[in-house]
Amino acid sequence: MTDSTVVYALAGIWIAMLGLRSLLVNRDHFKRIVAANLLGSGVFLTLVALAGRGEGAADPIPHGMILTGIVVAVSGTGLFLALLGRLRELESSEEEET
Amino acid sequence: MIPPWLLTLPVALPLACALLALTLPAPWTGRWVRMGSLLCALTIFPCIRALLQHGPIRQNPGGWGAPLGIQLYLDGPSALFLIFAALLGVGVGWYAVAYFTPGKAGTRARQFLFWPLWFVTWAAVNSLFLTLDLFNIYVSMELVSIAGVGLILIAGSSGATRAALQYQMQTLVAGLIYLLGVGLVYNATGNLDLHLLRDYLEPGPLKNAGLALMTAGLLIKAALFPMHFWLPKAHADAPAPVSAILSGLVVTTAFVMLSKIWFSGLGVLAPVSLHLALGALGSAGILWGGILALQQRRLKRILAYSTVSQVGYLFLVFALTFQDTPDPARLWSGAVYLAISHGLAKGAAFMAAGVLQKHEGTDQLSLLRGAALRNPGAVAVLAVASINLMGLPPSLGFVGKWWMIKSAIYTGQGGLAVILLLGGLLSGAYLFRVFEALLRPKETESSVTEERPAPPSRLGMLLPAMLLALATLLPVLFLSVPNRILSIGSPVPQASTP
Amino acid sequence: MSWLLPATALFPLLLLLIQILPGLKRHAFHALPLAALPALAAGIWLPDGLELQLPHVLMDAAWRMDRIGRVFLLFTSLGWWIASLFSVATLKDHPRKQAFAIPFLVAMSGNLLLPSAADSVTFYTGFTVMGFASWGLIVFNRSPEAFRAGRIYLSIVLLGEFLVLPGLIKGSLATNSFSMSALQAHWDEPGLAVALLAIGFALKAGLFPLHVWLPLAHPAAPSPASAVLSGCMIKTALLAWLRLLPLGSLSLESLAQTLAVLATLGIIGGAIAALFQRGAKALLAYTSLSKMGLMLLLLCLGLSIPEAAEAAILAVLYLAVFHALHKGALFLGSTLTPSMGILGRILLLLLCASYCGMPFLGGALAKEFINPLYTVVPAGWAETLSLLLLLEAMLSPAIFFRFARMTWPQQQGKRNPFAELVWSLAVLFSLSLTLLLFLAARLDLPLRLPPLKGIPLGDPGFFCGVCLTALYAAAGLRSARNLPPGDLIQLIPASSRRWNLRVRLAFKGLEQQLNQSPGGVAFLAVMLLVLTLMMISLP
Repeated sequence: MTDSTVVYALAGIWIAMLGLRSLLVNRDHFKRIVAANLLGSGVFLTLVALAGRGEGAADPIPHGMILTGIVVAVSGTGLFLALLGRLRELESSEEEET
Repeated sequence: MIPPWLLTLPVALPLACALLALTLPAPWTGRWVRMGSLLCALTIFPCIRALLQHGPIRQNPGGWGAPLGIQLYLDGPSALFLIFAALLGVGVGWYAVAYFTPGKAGTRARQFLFWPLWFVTWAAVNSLFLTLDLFNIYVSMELVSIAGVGLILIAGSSGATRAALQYQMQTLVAGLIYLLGVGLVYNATGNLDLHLLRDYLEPGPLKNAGLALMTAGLLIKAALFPMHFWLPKAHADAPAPVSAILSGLVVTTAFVMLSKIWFSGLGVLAPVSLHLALGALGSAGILWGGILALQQRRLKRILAYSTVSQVGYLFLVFALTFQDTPDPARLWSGAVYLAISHGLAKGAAFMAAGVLQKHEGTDQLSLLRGAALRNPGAVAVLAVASINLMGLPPSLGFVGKWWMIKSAIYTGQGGLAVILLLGGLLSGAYLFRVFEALLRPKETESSVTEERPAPPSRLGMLLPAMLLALATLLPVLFLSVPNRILSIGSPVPQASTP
Repeated sequence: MSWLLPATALFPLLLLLIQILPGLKRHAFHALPLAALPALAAGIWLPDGLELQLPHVLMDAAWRMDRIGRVFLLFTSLGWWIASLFSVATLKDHPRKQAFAIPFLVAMSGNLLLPSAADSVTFYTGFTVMGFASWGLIVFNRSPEAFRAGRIYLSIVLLGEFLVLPGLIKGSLATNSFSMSALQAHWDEPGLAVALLAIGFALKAGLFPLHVWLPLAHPAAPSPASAVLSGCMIKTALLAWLRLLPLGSLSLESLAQTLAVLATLGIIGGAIAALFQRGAKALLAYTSLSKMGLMLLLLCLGLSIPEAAEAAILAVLYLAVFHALHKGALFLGSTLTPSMGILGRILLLLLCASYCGMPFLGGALAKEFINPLYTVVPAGWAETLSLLLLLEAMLSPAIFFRFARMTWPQQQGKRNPFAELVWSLAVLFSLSLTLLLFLAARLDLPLRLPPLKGIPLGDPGFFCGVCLTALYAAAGLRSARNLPPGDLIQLIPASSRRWNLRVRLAFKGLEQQLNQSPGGVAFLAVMLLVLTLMMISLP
């Protein structure tokens, strides 16, 4: 295992932990979705780094997993943001009513 | 000869129905949904017949083998769970057709979304029961979760949106953690296939960490205490069919996946302390869910906390399996019956609650007084479902409870037996509280004049609900059949007795 | 033919379906009396030793007909039959009669499953079905008192389930089968399981101090329901003891003695409390407690002294039949007799006299069955037993004098000829019990009973009691005090409700707190826990 992959893997874990911490500490929805994306990036980085272990070309299977994960994370983020917008709408219309 | 696409049917057909549901014009939806759900359920039969004739079946859709392709695997437990999903699918489908009556334009548009989301959930759940590799579990669970978010949103209120937000956030995070776990395991073993992983069972840092992360990720989706908070919130505003799916199907599936990962082989990596920790969390969930259910004032919230409690029962299985049990096959089948019967009974209970809510306009217990006389059918469904929820004979839930208590006593874990019994006591308390509230006469006579008419499709809603409730009682009459199916290819060593 | 054994329990469920079907609903209620007839027929005609095993049903279900089962089946089905006739007579115009019929039929089904059940799971099924369905009968009136009685009843039922289930499971674990006879033969060392089973089932019979549900439930339920509750359902506790406890094979001294003390308290307490009741049904409930205490005591005798078991079982069987028929008729009459005429007075007097132990009638015959016990038990037990019987015989006339006064026919209200007919039938059944057994012994009929010598004169205490009552009545004294039914439950203070509320609020607050923690600190904690456990287990 070459040095760079270890560094990247550990960096990935570190970023993931940062994201997790932000998730717990913040209460604002927007900050939390950013934190979740941070967590995701950390996870993906770790997996990419681990995929690069060993001699020869990098293992494509974890790449496939990561791509799927990215798609899920992006669409999940989009869904979350859309929900957030909708919630703001609903809350403001409820405030108008009361 | 088994056609090579046999196992893809339970997954493909609901997906096709989902697409159809998106494109069909509204007046046709009801009829097609009914037929579609029946078809999807019927696809199970050839699979089971093949299972009984040939034993466990493994297939590669599209001819792509491992590790690139996805393999589908049918064994005894998977077959029973497929039947469970089919029953719930038909029940919820027919119920929802009657429930979502055409209403105002806005509501109709949202209700219209129920069909594709629900079919997608069904397809994903079937795929989960048939899957054999860790990554497919990730993909299908994410499908289930995202469809679940959509289903929670159908109610359209701000409360529902908030619940959907919370659920979306939690499942996103859970999924990412799970994915990290999968990646670590893959890196350590070069393999994702659950059966092939059986050759790599020496503990190692990456493998252990991977299993830990996968477990943690799935625990949220299974709504195990103390990560269950999304569940009562999601149920509060959701329409009854959605609650039935969430409590009945989604939560059960997450548990089944966790047990599949553990009992197919990787579970030996887990130390005894982790087994006991899961058992402790399960016990806490049983008691917590029960106590909180006693305090709720709304029927659907009571049922939601009841789900939290029942999920705790399921997790006790982990605390019981690491030792020499008197009959590991029976313990395993007990857990399976508990899971399946709870899903069916909870689905039926939510459906009955939905009928009551539609008629009375509320699910507040204090406002539902006397509802038993106006809706005897709904109360009957609730009563039959309660037999299973309380773990009383003659229900499948009782069979499961018996075998779990037996294992607990045999392995010297009397405390777990006491907790199981306490759970039964608590469930009796909160369920009879509901029945008492439903029977109570109204306080003032003047409210008689405000009686609302019964919803026109009430029978159409009650029949599927009763079907699901009876499905938890009837198998008791021929218990050897599911026992026999379970034993085919079961991961647990079978005793010689039938 | 052996399929008839479970069929007797399933037939009421069939009638239940008819109650719900839309076309037949209107007249279905009148079919209620049919429900218990197959069971009655089975009890009369099915031979001993008939067995049925269905290993695929409910974890190895088995049924068997034997002497004990037959006796229970006979008086249970007779009781339910008479009660269902009475229900049709009195409730056929009630607007919510289906709400009565449904729990009635379900409870009947559960009760009828028990006498011939041979495996613990089937037995437990019948027991729980019967127990939970009775809740529906108790709360039928939907009054606040009925719901309160229902709640207390339910707590006891749930507690019973909590105690009995681990006992049965432990037994099945030890014998590696579900059969109850295997379990009965197996008890080598008396352990926790026997105690759990004994106490758990005895709760149904109103074991002191958890008897409080009985005097609350009986007045709340409609008369036919009270009749079967007292007559048939609480007897199932005895059946459970007879089937599961090692009577005659082992001596469980400490357990038997503890339970005997509790049973004795029940006998005395029940009799005394009955004297101070204001309501007729509550009075009858307390006398039921007293009699059940006696039956439990006799079985405790058998449990403690194996040589006495055979005689004790026989005595209990007789007492069960006697009590079921008499108490059933008494309950049915408690709301009926005020509107009856001269016939009502005569029958009521005869019934009360028979219950109290008047010579030649049913109660006195009980003494004949208990006498053989004196020869096999040590002096201490014998003295206690005879003293208790004396006490009971003295108090009973006073109690039933009070009862008769409460329900004395005053010719008020509408008469219900059919109901009166049914009641008269019930009374005649009870009164002719003695005659039947007497004749059977004299004519040497094959009833498998010990030959009864001499004339049943009953306990001498009866005459004392009659004299005392006469004096008391002549003096015109009225009992000033009244004991509210459900005596001990009054001890639970209202402040406990406030404490309860505080606990509830605490839990709710905790849940909200945990819920609000962003992202779920709980999730992090659990994840770290899981990770740590996995990692530290590495070699």
